[in-house]
Amino acid sequence: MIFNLFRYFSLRYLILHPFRSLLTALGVALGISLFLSIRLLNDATLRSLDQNIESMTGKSDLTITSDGMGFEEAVLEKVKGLASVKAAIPLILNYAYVDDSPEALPMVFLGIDMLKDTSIRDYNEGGGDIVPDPLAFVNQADSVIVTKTWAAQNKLAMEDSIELLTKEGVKSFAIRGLIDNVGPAKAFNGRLAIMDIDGARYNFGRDGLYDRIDILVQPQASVKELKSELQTLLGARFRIEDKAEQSESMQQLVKSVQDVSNLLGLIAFLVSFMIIVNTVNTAISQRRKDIGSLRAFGAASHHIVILFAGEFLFLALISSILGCFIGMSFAESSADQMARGLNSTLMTNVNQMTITFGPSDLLASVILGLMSSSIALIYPLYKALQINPIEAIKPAVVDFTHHKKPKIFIWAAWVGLVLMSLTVAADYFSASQDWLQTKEIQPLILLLGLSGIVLMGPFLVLTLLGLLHRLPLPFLFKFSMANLLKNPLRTASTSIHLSLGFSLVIIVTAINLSFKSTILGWVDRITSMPHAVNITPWGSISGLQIQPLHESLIPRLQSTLPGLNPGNPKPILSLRIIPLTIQSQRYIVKAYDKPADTSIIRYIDPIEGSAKDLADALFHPTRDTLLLSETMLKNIGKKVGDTLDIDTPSGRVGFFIGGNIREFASPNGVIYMDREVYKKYWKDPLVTLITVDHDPALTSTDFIALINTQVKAEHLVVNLPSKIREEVARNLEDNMAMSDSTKWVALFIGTLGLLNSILIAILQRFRELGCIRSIGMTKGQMLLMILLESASLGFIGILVSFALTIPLSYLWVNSTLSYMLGWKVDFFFTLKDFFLLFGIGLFVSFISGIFPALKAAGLKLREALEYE
Amino acid sequence: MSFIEARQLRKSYASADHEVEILKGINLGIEKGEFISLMGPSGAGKSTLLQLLGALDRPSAGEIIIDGKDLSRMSDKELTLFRRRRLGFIFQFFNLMPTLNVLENAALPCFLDGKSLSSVRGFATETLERLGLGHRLDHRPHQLSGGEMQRVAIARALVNKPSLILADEPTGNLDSKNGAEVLSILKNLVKDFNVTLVMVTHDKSAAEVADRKVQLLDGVVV
Repeated sequence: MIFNLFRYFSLRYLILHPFRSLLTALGVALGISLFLSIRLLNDATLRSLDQNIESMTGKSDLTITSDGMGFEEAVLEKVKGLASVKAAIPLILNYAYVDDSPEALPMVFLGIDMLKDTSIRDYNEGGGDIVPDPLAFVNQADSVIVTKTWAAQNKLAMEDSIELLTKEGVKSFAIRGLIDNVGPAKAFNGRLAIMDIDGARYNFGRDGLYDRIDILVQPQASVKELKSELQTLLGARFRIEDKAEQSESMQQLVKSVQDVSNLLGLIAFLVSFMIIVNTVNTAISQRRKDIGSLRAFGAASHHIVILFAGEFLFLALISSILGCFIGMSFAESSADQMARGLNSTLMTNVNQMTITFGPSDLLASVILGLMSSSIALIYPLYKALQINPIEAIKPAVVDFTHHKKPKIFIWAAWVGLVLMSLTVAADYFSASQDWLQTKEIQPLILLLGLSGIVLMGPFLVLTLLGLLHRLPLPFLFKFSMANLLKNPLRTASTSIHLSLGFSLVIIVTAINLSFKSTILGWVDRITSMPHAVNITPWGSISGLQIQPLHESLIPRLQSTLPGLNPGNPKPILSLRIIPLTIQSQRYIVKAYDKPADTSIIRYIDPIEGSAKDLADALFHPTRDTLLLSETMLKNIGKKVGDTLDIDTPSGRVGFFIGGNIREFASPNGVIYMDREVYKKYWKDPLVTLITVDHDPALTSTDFIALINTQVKAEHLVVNLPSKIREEVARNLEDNMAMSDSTKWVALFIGTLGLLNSILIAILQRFRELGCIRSIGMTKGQMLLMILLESASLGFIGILVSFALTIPLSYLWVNSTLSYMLGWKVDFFFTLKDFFLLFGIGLFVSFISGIFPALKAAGLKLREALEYE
Repeated sequence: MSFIEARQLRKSYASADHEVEILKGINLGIEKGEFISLMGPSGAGKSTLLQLLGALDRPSAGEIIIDGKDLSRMSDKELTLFRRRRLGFIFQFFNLMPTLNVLENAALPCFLDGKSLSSVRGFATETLERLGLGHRLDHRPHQLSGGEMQRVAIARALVNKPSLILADEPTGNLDSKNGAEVLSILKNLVKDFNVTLVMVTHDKSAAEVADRKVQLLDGVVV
């Protein structure tokens, strides 16, 4: 019997209405695909990070790391001295570039102990020695090993030479080993080169330092006890982690970004969920007579349930499977951009994003599709079960009833108003209530506001339509308005699709624009020093994937570069950027050289006080002072005037917090310090970026042309400060790519929903439209009338979306996002953006009306009048 | 006792500010195998009486006993099963399912009873052939004329071999030729299938075909 109902009703309805079924399926599939692609990308990110950890950690039980410049070599001897340590293998990890093209990817250089490293890491299929004669390799100082993949890509073979930027400038190295794409090579996508550890330390300016030590624990010893012993021995500056803990740290690092994408995916899915709700609703109201007849013939409640559940759950199943394919291709196409975004913002090492789709993903997508459809079915099915068999006897006539605005809309609007007020209150109190600031509560506040929009929307749309209807407009326009007002329930459910999809577009646009404007505005401010150009190594500064330069370069440049500012006694200044972990959170340290005159500093963007005062505090002659970004102050629970203890290579140091600044280099927070102070405690002579103040008589472009040959000879890059702006803008684009795609897909789903709703509404009004045509309406008038209906509904829906969403976006940007991502962002949305989005919204509404309008204009009168 | 007994049957509907009594104490007996027509002007209560006799609605007062079973004491589920297994319906607007073909439409009540098409194909096909639709089995409703659609509806009403068929203006949407054909079919099926037929109609000539005419006026039998 179930099979009969499915075969003769559920399936037949789907087959007999292919276009409508396709629209619904596509809408649901796109919603599922967004959910799935975000899930796949998040999984791939975590897997890539895990793979990195797995391949770098190899067989070791524990790994010792410390931020910034690594740690002193004496640590190795201390570790080796512990009885539970079977082996301790040191490692140097460095980035370097072999060409200066803007698209160049960094090579990862590992400095390893050639004789011992293979005991924990594999470099060749089947393990074994990394090169046949490691001693001979070590004895030749210019030896380097690359992967077979990379060598083949660059048409290089054994004994060929490659040029690399070292602390002494460019040097030539000979390829004396080729390794398979396994272990660390696989983690870095084949872009890996290996040197002997002492050679690496010398060439990359890491003398006397190690980046990590991997430990093998004695078989009888306890890993947990050794970990605790090491922590006590080495102090809080060191992270001693097993694989699981390293993985956990990485997951925490990307969590906030993944939370935001999950939330956007969820909202986009809600749009597609509305399509199911609306389609089920209209399908049931359209088939009242059929349901009544079935009831008259003795169909029980469960027959009606089976009939509709079969139809929509089958549709959801097909849509979910279709969504899996679309989601996979979304994920595949966004993987590289997402990896770049994460690497530049969070300094992660996501190199190999392999999108894998497994049975659990299919199951999750199908469950999501079926569950959402089941939820969507509950209320319409309940209504269907109320349909009396007497419906069967009622004649099929034109519904001339003018329905009043149902009270439910008024109630919904009140509830919506309450929800929106709660959102406003929650945002307002978030500043003072810690429990509201959590990453779990803030998305709920966002959803609360969005629910308010959905609940208030129909009432406002119908009220505005009513006002528009009263205007002295041409007949056809008024008639279209009257048609929309005649069935408020249908009109409201149609408008919800567009409103919800469009609200998401507005929110994401407002968030992205605000981010872009705030961050680029900040970059403009901090790079506004006149007559300044930057000299950097090859590569991306923002991701810190570069080979830093030795500070000895600065006096050399000062004595040889022409065109320096003669009025500035210190025309060349440097900046060192390193990551630093404090209380398990990763921050950025920017250590600046003190200029001759602190009033020329532009990079300090104060929250309190003047830039000059903060600059003087930063370069205080006797007190070791830090300027901290506001997000960092919040994260560590400190204020200006407090002391912050940091475990440095020279031990724990208490730094005075001298100022609160606006900084966007890291969402967790940024520390500014004097480079002299940094060098004193970190013993690091390297610099990341050099700023040159040139002769004001020269333009910056002329100055770059003047020094370019000399700078290029050093294998450095000289750029205008605007280059940093371009790099930041590109990183922002990478970071926002996913949310941008999500918003357009959400709008597309909303458009499909709108098209579907209008189409269903036309079919419901077939007899009515037949009557109108029979009394003299032309095909052109019919076409125009339906287009006017869809465009007016779109116009008002978009207007309402703007009216409700812009104030909420303002709150979210100013409050919710600050707590979710850590950055305080200023709201930004221009009139130009408003008109652009309005135009797009009107266009999609108009487009949505074309097909239904053509269908209505083309109806055959005889069929329409006989239609049941 | 008659096959159908309606005793002091009353039915009221609540309007905006008052209650409208449609049936005001109907007493009616119909014998097994009898073909009766219910006549009366609009608002007389014909369709309401048909709905009550067809177990589509419950009376406000009084009782309806069909073949010894008191409908007013039955639960919703029992009424549903009663309609499915014991009654057949013929509507003015045919109410065929647009997704089903002629044969499937005729077999619809059996599907609802958990039977497969193959188990009722023989009887349904035979009935449809008898009604002159043997060549239309695979057609869908929109491919049929009004008369043909009503004949499919008649076949559907017969497929579960009911003891009572209720027809609501079965010729109301047909031309005179098709109307006459349908009436002739109805008249014959009472004999051939030994069913009781209650037909609501406005049409005096249609009412003449019945064995007995029952006239309703303002909710009472006159």
